[in-house]
Amino acid sequence: MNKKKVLVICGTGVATSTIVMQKLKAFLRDKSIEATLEQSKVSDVLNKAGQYDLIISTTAVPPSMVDKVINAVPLLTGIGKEQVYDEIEARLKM
Amino acid sequence: MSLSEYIGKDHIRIFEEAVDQAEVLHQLGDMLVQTGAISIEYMESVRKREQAFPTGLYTGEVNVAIPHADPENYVKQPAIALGVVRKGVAFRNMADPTDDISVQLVFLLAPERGETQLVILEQIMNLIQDQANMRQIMDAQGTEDVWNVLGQLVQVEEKL
Repeated sequence: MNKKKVLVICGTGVATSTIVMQKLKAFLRDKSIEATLEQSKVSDVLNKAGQYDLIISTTAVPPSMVDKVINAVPLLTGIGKEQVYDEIEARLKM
Repeated sequence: MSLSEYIGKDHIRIFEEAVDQAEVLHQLGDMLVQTGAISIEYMESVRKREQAFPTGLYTGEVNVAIPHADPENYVKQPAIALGVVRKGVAFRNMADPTDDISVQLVFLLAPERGETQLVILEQIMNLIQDQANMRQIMDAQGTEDVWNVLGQLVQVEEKL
């Protein structure tokens, strides 16, 4: 299985993406999934989305990125987080 | 430091009357400026960021918003201001900016970059995942009482 490149983004690249990053690391460790993780803010990645296999975002993203993006807000609120984890796992095992 | 220490008695404001978002942010920001936690420029960043990337979250019966911005040089001392808005105030949805959420708890975050801040952010996220805790905050009368509730919150177990 190829090691996937994952990008975690939020509006500022400071607060919510940090939380998501932490949870994602724990989840991947738990599932023994290896991936390269990077953290950034949405405005910095508009032209680089193509470099990543998966983008996990707490903010709305431009339509050009939508196909690669999973909405991570449920990881913050806890509501619907299981589906998000399932989707992340499925995408990284593709 | 625990959440109640970051928030502090001086950083809690209860809004009994109807208010708009600008007023809530102004008053919460003012408390952080008064105690020297932030310089006034930080609030301009927060307002801009809230426009571009809103922070309202659906969390259940009691909804929350976590306005914040890049600390740059504007955060002098990491802190959090808490607004309890009895009648709710509209914040746009983080996941869908076209959607307005009526939120009752507003956590204005003045973070620093780094590990200590992560601990605090995680505590906030654990808190907002627990409606019973949020209900307790809403039921508290007066800022002193809110602060006491925050101090007594059962430390929620680390959640994946």
